[in-house]
This record gives sequence, structure tokens and C-alpha cells, in this order.
Amino acid sequence: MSALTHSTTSLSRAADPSGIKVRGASKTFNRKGKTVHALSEVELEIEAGQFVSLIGPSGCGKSTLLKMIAGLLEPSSGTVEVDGAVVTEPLPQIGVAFQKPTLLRWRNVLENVCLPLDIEKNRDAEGESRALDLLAMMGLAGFEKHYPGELSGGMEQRVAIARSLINQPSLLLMDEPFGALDEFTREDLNDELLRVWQHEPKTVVFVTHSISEAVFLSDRVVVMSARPGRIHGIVPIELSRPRERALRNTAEFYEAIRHVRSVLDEAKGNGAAARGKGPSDGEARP
Amino acid sequence: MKVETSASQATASSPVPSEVGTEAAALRSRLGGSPGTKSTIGAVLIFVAFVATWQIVATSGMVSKLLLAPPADVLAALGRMVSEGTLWPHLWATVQETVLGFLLAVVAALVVGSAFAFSPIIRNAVYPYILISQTFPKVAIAPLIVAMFGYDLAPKVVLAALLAFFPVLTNTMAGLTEISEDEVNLFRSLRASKWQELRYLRIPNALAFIFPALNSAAVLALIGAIVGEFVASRSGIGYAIQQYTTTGEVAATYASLIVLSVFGLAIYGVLTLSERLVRRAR
Repeated sequence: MSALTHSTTSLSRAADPSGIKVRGASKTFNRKGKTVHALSEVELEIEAGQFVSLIGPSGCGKSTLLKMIAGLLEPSSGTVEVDGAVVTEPLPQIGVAFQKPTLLRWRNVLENVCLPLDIEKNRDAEGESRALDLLAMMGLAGFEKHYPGELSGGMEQRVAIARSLINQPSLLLMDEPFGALDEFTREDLNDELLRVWQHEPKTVVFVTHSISEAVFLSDRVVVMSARPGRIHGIVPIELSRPRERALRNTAEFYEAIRHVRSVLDEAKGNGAAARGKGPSDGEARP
Repeated sequence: MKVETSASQATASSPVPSEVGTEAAALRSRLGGSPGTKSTIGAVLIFVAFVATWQIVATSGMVSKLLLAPPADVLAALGRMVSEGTLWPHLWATVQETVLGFLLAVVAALVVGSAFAFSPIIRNAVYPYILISQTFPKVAIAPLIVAMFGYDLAPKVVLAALLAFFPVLTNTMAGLTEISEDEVNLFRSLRASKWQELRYLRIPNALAFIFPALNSAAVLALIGAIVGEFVASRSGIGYAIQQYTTTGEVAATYASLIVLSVFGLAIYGVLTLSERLVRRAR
């Protein structure tokens, strides 16, 4: 906790959270001569400072949508805007966390967190102390000199999240970052992520397979359906913040999960119906 | 009731492993210290047993004196080669051939490997031939190479380089190209330039592939040099081994083999050291 108090100076120079507008965005891929509709006519607006999860069956294009917001994929038609500008390449104000921690195994923990600073050529003592603060906040104080090979999967993912936050992004994009972790570790990381988010307000777009994770973290859960990938419905989660561990045992929490699940079931039904007439098939990943 | 039984089971069973543990610790201290020291003692014992068996077999008459010299004679022969100075020109020749061949191979493999890694067109055009030449037993062309390059340094360097080239080439290519999609996306999301991607991702990744390849390349370079000396030469440890074998100087033959083995170990040491230095510099 001492890290939280002494870190306020180094943690508070972030820009205002980003707003996102997705307008009629579609994405088609060519797979062995067949056209795959990964996303079809997606309309989505995310207010600055919101925590939004994308959830849906595999093949619904949630990762594709996230990569388009990140500027890693270009829409085949339509546009994605972040802070009023059309995204054509990764913007400087984003931080990205992937499903795999993607740490560089020849760099120790601190060096991995500082990689974005090295690339931006603005690494200094202040940046390094911010890295240490972030590591402390993620429960990794004292692990700075360890190498990725010496860490558990959960610890590696904590490092990856600290790395995605080092540049004070106003938009954090997370592609199933906890998908490979066991449930206990996942819940710990959810708590830590919310703690950091509370501390440094920013817009977060979070792709997940887990309903309870989406509900626990988000202001809104975007439920998607597959083949072609589209937004089926948006469920606002009106649980009060800050959200603590104990929330997971409350009736409201279960009620919200039940609600999201019912919308998700609807979405799957739709997907199955669409599959009968739709031309697309296959997992919608590039 | 259930809780009680499990608790009593736990108390009943817990002393057993701890007793075993202390017993094992006592045994360990009686036998002399940590597993590390024990391994060292074991290694020394194996060496002593090996030399003793060698001595017994060599002096018992079971094996012809023309095939095996006792260790004491070998050591004496080695001493003579050193004191009379006959060893040094041969060793120097082999060291030169191996090191030059190795360096030539590494430089060529790094250049060609990088070109392949960054130009799929070149790679796809040339790689089938690389594959064919890799499966080809290159020592078979040693006589041809000697015929082309003469009897001195050149043919051995060429042969050493030829053998050492391929492991470095394939590992350079693999290290520069075996990068996951997530890693590429990470660097793109960080708005890294191509040069930064090379510097922070591809080169360090490649080094992890290249260093192990350097070890096998060095061994192969030494093999190339020795084979070259066997075919035709006027100096070198390989040449000396052939001379000693034909003149029946069995002890000197074995002494030369020991020199080769020490040289091989020295190469391994230098490579390990340089790998550590490069890792620290990063």
C-alpha cells in the first residue's frame, strides 16, 4: 500500500480517457479462397472513461473488433474513431495486453515493463520508478530482477499489464488477458486491474470468454453473436463502484450474470439461425 | 467424528516423513557434504577408475602394444612433444584452420541467414539447394577441395567453414523469423520502427538460437580441419596423428588425441564465456 501513496506523483500525469466510435465497421478475410465475414456492420460507441467488455461465442469477431480499435487491423468497410480521429494505425495513447503475456524472455521483469519507454526513447529515472510502482500495485514488488522463465503464468500476465500501463495510455485494450489463468488467479488479477483503473481513470475495452469476469469488471457488457460477427445487445452493469471481492457473493452480482447469460444464449440462438443461411464459417481471427 | 479421525491420522503419519528426512540428512553428512561435492567426488572417482582400467588393460598384454599405450607412456610422450617443441607447430596449424574456418562460416551464415530471413523470394529460391547440400556428407568432397586449394591452410579452412556453416545458417534464419504474431502485434502497438523491432525483438531472439549453434559449429569446424589434414597436409594435429600411427608411435598418437580434446574444451569455454558477456551487455 505504501507504493500507492508515494506513487501519486508519478502515476497522475495521464491524459484524459479516450472516447471510441465504431461506425458500420465490417471485416472480411479470405481463407483458402472462401470469404469469411468476421464482423458485419458493427455500430458501437464507448464513452470516455468507461470499462467495456466484449463477450460472445468464438468466431463472433470480438478480438477482430478489439484489433481494429487498436489499429492492428483495418476495417474492410466503415470506420473506427478514437478521440475523434479515424484509426489507421496504432495510436500513441493506447496500451495493449494480449492473451499470452508476450514478455521478452531475455529481459527481466523491470526491463520488460520499461520496453515501451525504450521504444519511445523517453526512459528516465521517473519512468523506472513508475514501473516499480506499477509492479508493486500488481503485487510484484521484489520481482524486478526476475526473468519471465522464473514466473508463473499469473505473474507473467501481471508484468504484461504493468507494461501496457507504463505509458499512461488513455485507452487500454485487453484481448482475453486472463483467459489462460485458473479462476483464483483470474479473480485476483480482476481485483488488481480494477484497483489500478480506479487509480488511473482510462477507457478500457476488455475481450473475455468469462461472463462473471465481464460483469465484475465492466460498466457495459457488449454481447456479440457469431457468423457473421455482430453486436447482439449491450447490457449495462449497474453495480456500484469501487467493486471489491465481496461483491462476487452478492445477489445483485448473480442477477447481473444471469441477465448477461440470457442475452448471450439469445445471441447464440441467433448465430445458429444465421449459420443456416449465412455464407461465412470458421473462427474469425486473422 | 470425521474431523477427529483425519486429525489423528495426520499426527500419526507426520512424524514418519520427518524422521526419514533427518535420517537422510545424517547419512548425507556422514557421506561428506552437499550433492554438489558428491558429484565432484563421483567425477574424480570415474576418472581414476578410467585411468586405472586403461593402465591395467594396456600393461596386461590383452591388447597389442601397437594399439594401446599405457597412460604413463602417453603422459611421457606428451611431455616430450612439449619439451622438444614438436607439438606447437602442429597445434598452431590446427587452431588456425579451425578458428579461421569457424569465423568464415559464422560471418557467411549470419549474412546469408539474414538475407533469407528478410527476403522470402531469395529464401524460397535458394533453400532447396541449401537443404540438398545439408544432407550431403561434406567430408566426401575433402579430396576435391584439397585438389582445388592446395596442401596448406586454405583447403582446411574451406572444409572447416563448409561443415560449420549450416547449423549457424539455419539457426540464424529461425531466430530472426520465429516470432509470434502477438510479439509482432505488441511491437506494432508500441509504434516501434522496423529497426527497433530488429534491435529489441528479432536480434535478441536470434541470439538465443545462434549461441547453441556456435557450439556445434565449432566442433564441426574442428572435424573439418582434421579431415582436411588427414587427406593431405604438412602440419596439424591430424597430420601428426597420421604420422605417429604409421610409424607405430602409439603413445604419441594418444597424446595427440588428448591435445585435440583439450583444444575442443577450450573452444567450448571461450564460447560459453562470450555468450555470458553478450548476455550481460544486453
